[in-house]
Amino acid sequence: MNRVGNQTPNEAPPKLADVNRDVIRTLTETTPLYWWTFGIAVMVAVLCFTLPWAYQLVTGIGVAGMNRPVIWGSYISCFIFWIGLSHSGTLLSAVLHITGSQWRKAIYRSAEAMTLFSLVVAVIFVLVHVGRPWFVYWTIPYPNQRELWPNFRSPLLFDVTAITTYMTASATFLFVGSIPDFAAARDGTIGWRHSMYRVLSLGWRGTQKEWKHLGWAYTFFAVLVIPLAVSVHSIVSWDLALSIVPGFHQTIFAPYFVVGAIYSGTAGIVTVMYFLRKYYHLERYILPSHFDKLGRLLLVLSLLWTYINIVELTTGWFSHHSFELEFIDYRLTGAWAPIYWSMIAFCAVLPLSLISSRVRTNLHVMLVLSIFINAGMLFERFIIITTSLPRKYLPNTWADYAPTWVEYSIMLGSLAIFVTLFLIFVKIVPSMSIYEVKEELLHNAKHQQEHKP
Amino acid sequence: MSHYLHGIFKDPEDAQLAQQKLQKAGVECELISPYPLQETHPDNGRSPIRKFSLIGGILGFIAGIILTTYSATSYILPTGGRAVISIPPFLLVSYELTILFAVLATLIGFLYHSGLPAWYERPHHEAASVDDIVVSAEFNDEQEDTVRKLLRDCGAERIDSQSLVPIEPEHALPEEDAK
Repeated sequence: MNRVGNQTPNEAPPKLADVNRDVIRTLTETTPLYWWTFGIAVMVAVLCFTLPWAYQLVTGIGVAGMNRPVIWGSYISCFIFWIGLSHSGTLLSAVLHITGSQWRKAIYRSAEAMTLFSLVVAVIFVLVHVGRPWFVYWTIPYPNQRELWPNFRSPLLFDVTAITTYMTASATFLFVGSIPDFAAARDGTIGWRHSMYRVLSLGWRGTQKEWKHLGWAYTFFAVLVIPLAVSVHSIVSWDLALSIVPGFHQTIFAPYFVVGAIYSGTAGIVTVMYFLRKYYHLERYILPSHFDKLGRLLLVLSLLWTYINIVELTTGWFSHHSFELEFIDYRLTGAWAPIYWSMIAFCAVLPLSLISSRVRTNLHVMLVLSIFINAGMLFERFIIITTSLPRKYLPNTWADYAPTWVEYSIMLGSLAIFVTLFLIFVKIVPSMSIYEVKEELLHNAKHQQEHKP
Repeated sequence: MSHYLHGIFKDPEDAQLAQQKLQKAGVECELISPYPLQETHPDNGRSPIRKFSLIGGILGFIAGIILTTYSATSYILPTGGRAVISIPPFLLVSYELTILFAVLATLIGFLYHSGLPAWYERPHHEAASVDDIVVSAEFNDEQEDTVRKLLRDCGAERIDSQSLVPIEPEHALPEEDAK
């Protein structure tokens, strides 16, 4: 195993020209494994997502298991999960950019792409959830014949503005940061790829004026994106917390959701990095030290997340309010208790192993942990919805909820949509920032020269 | 027809020196690199893009306030005893629009000041996308020998030439940026 922060002992750091070659190779060379994975992902997306959704559209939203009092179910859980997963990418990239962390440079591009595609999948879940997606334009404020306007006092409208802003900002952040790399790809490819990158690079040449303005614009984007990302998941939490349902009506929900989102997203980055490193042969750039640092971050986030969970339960318990006690009892011992305790095991107990540097630098273990954490975070979203609504106030309104095959299928299909979008991305956009990796290599070389005995 | 000589350097400091000497000799030139050379930029401290971000943000906030108050008063919908013009939720929407407009304005500012998009032929050398620093100098017939000698003396490893048809006026950069 590598020493943390270094190359393997016998391997020299890549040269600048190697970076261009290695990254452009990921765009131009396509293995049969890629096509198989892509084909399976598209097939699963069609079979498990599109067809069941078409069935739901034709038959009606009743084919999902939601009914009073549980009128929100797996779709909203998945919406929150995918919004959460989106948080690490842009937020982490922006925070690490502002703080000048060199190690972000090899990993941030894919993390930002993850943000964008998670948001796309989250928005798809809104369309699935509303039942009649052809009316979704009613949420857009525009002058109309009936003089009807959306109600901006509703948290659902906060969501619309927050997510629209977040998608636009994330896409802009990703695109502007990629312009110099599109230019490098333009100069390193021929044929239709050259034409495509010529358009995408906007005629970038790399003059000092262009670099200067890019540097400033990128910093401004980063500064704007950080409060935006925090606000987005806070607002998503207020979809729940601004109601008066026991289990939803919690003041701690905004930080709880933001911490959970960053936690889930950081784990998502680890998963994506593992596969990129392994299957795109980027071992010289994505180092165990990157996993080590992400592992440390996951450990801190796991402790924060655990703390907030304890606070959530104890404040309800201290209130000694019968509605709160009933919901807590249902959550800990009711129909979905196995899912709740799995969530605790995956997100609070297993990540404690990250205290060991052996765990953090063992990439296979990191992959397994990251998948467990995200499974736990999906459970968390599901638990919040499905253990609060079934025990709302008086017993005559209680009813249990169980997702139907349509919901399970759509959940699986959404993962396939994400994988499909990501696989398309890695063939079009350089999945690692060429110019920033060069900066990192030059920085490391300078650092080594300065510390030579 | 405009003619350019591209001096290709391995060392950024040599390239910077060549640029300074060429500028002293009255030759128009640009330093093109595969990564930002911050030390070559004495005026790196401030960017005009910040004005775009600020104005975009202010406009976004105003747009948010106008949108929420106008829509609330156009179609009165009393809910839960809340005021028709409820400040806390309207501030939230305005906050999001502040960021949205600031991001879009920053993008516009970046594109405007960088002279992008520019999908036409401009002096460029592919080596500047890989690992070399390129000093790209525009010359006329009398200047060619001077430019070549200066580039060589400063340590250019190779000198390549490029000829381009003149840029149409409507494609030219804004005057301020062309300096």
